Amino acid sequence: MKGSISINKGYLLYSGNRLLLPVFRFVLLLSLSFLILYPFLAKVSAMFMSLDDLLNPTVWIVPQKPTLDNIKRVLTFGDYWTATGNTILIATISAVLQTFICTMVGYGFAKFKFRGRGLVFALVILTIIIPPQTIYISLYLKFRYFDIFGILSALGAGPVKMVETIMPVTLLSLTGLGLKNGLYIFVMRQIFKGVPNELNEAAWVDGCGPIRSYFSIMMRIAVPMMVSIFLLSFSWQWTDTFYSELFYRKMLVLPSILPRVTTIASEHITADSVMSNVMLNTGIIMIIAPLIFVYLFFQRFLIQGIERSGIVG
Amino acid sequence: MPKRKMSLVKKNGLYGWFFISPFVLGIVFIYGSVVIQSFLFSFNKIDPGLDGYKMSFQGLSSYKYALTVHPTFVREVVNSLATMLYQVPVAIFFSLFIAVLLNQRMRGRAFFRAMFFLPVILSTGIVAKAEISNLFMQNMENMAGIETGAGAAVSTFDVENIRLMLQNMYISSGVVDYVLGLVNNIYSVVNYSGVQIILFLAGLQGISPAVYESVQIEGASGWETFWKITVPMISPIIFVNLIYSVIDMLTRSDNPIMLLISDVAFNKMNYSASSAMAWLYFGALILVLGLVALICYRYIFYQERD
Repeated sequence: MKGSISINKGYLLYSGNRLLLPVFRFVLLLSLSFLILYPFLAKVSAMFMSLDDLLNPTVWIVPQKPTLDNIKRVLTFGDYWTATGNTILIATISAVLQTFICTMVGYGFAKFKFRGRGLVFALVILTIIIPPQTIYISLYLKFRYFDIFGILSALGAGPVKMVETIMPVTLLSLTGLGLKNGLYIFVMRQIFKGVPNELNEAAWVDGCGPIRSYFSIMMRIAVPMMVSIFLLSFSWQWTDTFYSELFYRKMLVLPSILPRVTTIASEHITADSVMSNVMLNTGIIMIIAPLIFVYLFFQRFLIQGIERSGIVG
Repeated sequence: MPKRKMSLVKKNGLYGWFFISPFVLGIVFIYGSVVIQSFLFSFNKIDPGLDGYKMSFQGLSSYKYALTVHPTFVREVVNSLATMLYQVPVAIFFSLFIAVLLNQRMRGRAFFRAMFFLPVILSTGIVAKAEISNLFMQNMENMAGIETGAGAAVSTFDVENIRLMLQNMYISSGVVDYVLGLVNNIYSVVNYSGVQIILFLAGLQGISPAVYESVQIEGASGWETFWKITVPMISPIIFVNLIYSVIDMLTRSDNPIMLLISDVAFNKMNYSASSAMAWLYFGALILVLGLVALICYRYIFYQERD
């Protein structure tokens, strides 16, 4: 097809490849992006629609009577800023801790040989497999009456009530047990297994201990994956309903503003289900909007950072 | 006793324990007891009372109930496994393909990458949960002819004619159905592959450009470079994604088994049967994962073997 139009087949084939491939790639990515973006666009536009627009079947995407009322309602009824503040705190703490802890643990599994490594790694996989719902009740009891084998009680500190504070999430992140942390540990192990050992050996010959070589050489190699893990962990914690229902019934976090917003909407504005649906929708967009900015900021670190090693091949 | 110097191997092992110590501590002090408690639930009869619950030992009867009495449990497990077999390869191929595309230098790369990050946010947590009940917006998001993940779309895409055409080309109807099914469900394929794309993308950054340069000088074509450099170098991540996809497909919250388990626990109030089912299901899952790991082990390329 490429060369059939012209006599100079070789030339066209060459320029065809250079031209056709990027065009094909662009069209493919654009159409997939459209597919992803369309429901999102519909949500964003509904956010600015008044009730008249929503009930008017001729209005499509572009509102005729745009309004900011929906957003204002979420801001006031949902107590949006308090919730955002709390969520930023929780998500940042857990994402930062999880990124560093999982990288470290993954490195331990990849680069050192010791007895029981296989067994402990099987436990890592087990933590991914067991869905959090299964241990829901036990986990709540654990943090409601936190104690370490009765030691705290014996010392008179008693079982500590940790729910409604940032402690449960902090502790779980510190020990690599947060949401999907098993996946992060696993992926980090795979990344470090792909790094040639000669790098470490060279560092040791130069008198650099395992800990220092980890911080000054190995961790830098893993930066793109660390950024990805940070992003995943941040956004999963941000939209998470599991911990917010389990630990934060009183402390307001973003995922829990949705029920508030919809009930208030149906009580105070109109009992119409359309209204509560639109409030729900506005709430969703306002919850995930900050995440998109976070992603756009961090994605610049996802480019080929450091030349991978001094060793070629 | 004379002080002996630790051997290098032993010292090395200690450093290993140091690096994995956060996780070990977590298992010992937090997670272990929590999981064991949930496991014990499956052997006991649990009666929730006003203040806490009472447990009484009843042996394996919950397991017997799940396997022989419950009408749909076994069938649903088999169904789930079969669906997984069909979805996982698609998710892996699709996400690797997209990640390779997104890794190339081009205009609008940042935009496209952001687009493929959206499904990760949109398909988890509160967003996915709220979506289910939001019928009005599902209506608005519907688009004729394309599956947008918002309820059932009306297909104006002439699937039947394409099916006939492909079948007239002597392509077996199984393959045709498979491919057309995928095309029709492209939105869910994109949704299932979000995390995998991100992990692949990060993995692709780790391949040294020097390797590509040298194969280019050797005169390898793009096709050869992909199969002989990219695939082996990315194979550790392919393995993670394979395992993750299997787990994700089988334990995501809209999986029929997951729904069944929570239904038995919270609507039928039968905690012990529900945890017995959960543990049986994990048994099946672990078997599948072991099989995947066994098959893959030979094909993964690590810089060092142990």
